Amino acid sequence: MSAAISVKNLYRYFGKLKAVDGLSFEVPHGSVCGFIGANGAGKTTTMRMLSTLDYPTMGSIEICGINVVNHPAKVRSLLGWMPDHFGNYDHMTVLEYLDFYARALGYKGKERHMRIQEVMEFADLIPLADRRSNKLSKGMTQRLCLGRALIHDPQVLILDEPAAGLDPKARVELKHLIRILAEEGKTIFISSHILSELGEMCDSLLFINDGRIVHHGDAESLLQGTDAAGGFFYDVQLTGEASKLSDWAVTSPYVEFIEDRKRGGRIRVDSDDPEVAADLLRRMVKDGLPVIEFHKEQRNLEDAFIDILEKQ
Amino acid sequence: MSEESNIHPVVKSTSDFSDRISPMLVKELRQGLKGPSFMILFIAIQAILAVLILGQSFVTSYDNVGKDISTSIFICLSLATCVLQPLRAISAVGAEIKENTIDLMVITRLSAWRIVFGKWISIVSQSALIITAITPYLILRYFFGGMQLFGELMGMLSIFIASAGITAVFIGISSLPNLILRGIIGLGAVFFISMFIIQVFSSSYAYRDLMKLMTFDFPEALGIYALLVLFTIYIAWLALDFAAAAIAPISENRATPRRLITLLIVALTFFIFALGDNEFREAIPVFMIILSLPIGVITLTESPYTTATVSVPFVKKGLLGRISSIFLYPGWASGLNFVLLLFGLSILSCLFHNDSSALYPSSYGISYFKEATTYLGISFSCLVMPLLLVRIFFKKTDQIFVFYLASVIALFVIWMIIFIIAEQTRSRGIYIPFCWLPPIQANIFDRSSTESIAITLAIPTFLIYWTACFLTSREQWKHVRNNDLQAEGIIESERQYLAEEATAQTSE
Repeated sequence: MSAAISVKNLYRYFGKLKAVDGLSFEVPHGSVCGFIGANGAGKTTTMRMLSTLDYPTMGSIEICGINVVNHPAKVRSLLGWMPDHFGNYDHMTVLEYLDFYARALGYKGKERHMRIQEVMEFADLIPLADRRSNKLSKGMTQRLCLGRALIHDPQVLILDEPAAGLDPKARVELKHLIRILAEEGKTIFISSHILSELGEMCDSLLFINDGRIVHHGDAESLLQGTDAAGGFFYDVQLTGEASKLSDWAVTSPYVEFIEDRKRGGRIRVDSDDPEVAADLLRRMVKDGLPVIEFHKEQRNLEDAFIDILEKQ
Repeated sequence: MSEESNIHPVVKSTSDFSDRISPMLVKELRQGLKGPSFMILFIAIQAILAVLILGQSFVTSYDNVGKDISTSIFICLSLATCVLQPLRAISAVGAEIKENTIDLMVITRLSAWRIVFGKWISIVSQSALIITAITPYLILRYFFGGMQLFGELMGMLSIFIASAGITAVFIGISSLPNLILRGIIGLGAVFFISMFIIQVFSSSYAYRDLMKLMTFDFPEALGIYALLVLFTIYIAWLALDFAAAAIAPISENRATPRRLITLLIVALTFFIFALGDNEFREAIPVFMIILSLPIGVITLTESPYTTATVSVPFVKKGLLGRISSIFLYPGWASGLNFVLLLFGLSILSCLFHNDSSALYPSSYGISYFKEATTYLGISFSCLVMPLLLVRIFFKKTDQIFVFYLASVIALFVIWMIIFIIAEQTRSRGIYIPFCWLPPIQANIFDRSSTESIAITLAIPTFLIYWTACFLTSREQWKHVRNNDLQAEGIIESERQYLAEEATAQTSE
């Protein structure tokens, strides 16, 4: 059986700018794939091409085995698209908004009512039915947009930065909805800047930089540090001046200072050996650092992302 | 799945519009009728007409009061439906593109055409509502006397048809990606339409001629009216199709039907003119020029990039398909051939004037045939020359239409400068060094002392510009041939699939 999303040698140029520069990857059916990259890395361009809204300069994209350029109408019936930015209509309520899309997707009468009701219940939109769609909060708008993308019950969902600009509560609600969809077996291709959330949700992660894939693998390997761009992290807390740690790290071999923290910082070493950790602590104390806390930390996706970008 | 009885009453309330009505129309009506612009216009026109009619009935005591009220109604109605209502469409597609909502629409089952058509029909139906709402004033006007009932009703119908056509043109303009260009064209159109309306209804001669046309008071009136209606429908369709093409996926071939329908309209035009006498037929080259210019601009600015699926129907038809693709394949390269075909048909149309006098000089000193072919040459050169400029200076641009229009504006400015210098200094000889510019050829043709130069140059100039453009189209034709090869592969795999299906069915 073909993959839900299959991309081969994909290129997209805008004049001299290479927005997408030879992407190839596959996303299996029923999996959740996180798409990570800095602003301008080519995420939205790729997602727009996957969604039949832009066309490649070269290369091919297939959704459930159907070519998106040659058969856009067939592909559109299989996918739900949620863009990073979109406007809402003036003088249109939430219900009218969903009703329009249900009609546009070909639903009639009773079936249309049922589809609207189902997505409104799923995205908790019933209490907002009579609200003007352009007067919603960002979180409500994202729920509405997700509801719209689900009206035709698509097999594949392409979500471009769905959590961007959401407050923590709305982010949790959206994450919960996406998790339910993943459990229902939908293939989800999602981009986000909040990498920790992607780590929890995704079966695989696709890192992109300057239009090229720089890493494609599962979140677990990145978090455990078994990935090529690995390392092991320690949180060190001191009494007194926190900057002492970074000064010490500069002069210490095999130790890299990662980030400042309130009372110390975060360092990285190459080895997972407990002896190395013990030796590290011994050296700190010997060199006069007032260490009050020293513990191993799990690598996070931000670390992995920065590592990969630095390796580039 | 929920049962119908379990459906929330709020959800059931969406049945205010029947399922048979286009989703786009439902959306646009829900938005449009609630919006302030329609409400204000609807109420304002009622108030203005009420004040005007009351005022005129009290103030005037002369015989023409009925005609003056008719004029007021026509001016108000025309400005409301042919200027203000179409203006509401100026951002119809552009706003959706800007707000990123068009993407959400095109990934539904709505085709690009249905989206654009829905937007158009919504504004047109609101215009119809405005026209219907002024019926009481027409009844009131009847009591002032002097009413040409049939003529004025035909006038109202004509205003409605014109409004629908102008609205379509504004929707076409709304799909232009460049906001400044959209603004310039839109404001220019509003200015000319407003001037035209005021000119027609404020001049008693123009109004009288209009009423003669509306009442079919002279032999050719029906033919002229039919041609005007046909032309309006064609332009409206062309403008909507232009907007649809702007949002349609590249695998959708809109160019071939567009060109085939144009050829059908040309055939209909020939038929209508063939019914008239020679005097009527003299106008056919003018009509051909008016018909060819908009489709010419659109075909010459079509994107050359298509997918292999576009080639499939052409390849399937074998040799006939390959030959027809020379004129009908999407993209400006075949558009160039299509323009040449239209030019040939236009030259052919001159033969409709089958009187031998067409070949001999008239009282103006020039034969009809020479005059018609010269104007055709100049007009078609005007069409092709901007493309040549785009091919030379902006070869790699994706926005051919924008640069084509920019070239047209640049040509117009150059022509204006030369024209002003020539007229101010009264030295028309200045035109001669610029005779390679098609609009200048029209100035040269206008003077009896230099008209022979224009007659000699007009058609060769067109053919030279056409050939120069053709020579730059090699890359586009390579792309077409490449698509043809891929299409052969698609057809072959389709055949194999069908054969496998048939074998599987037989074995079952």
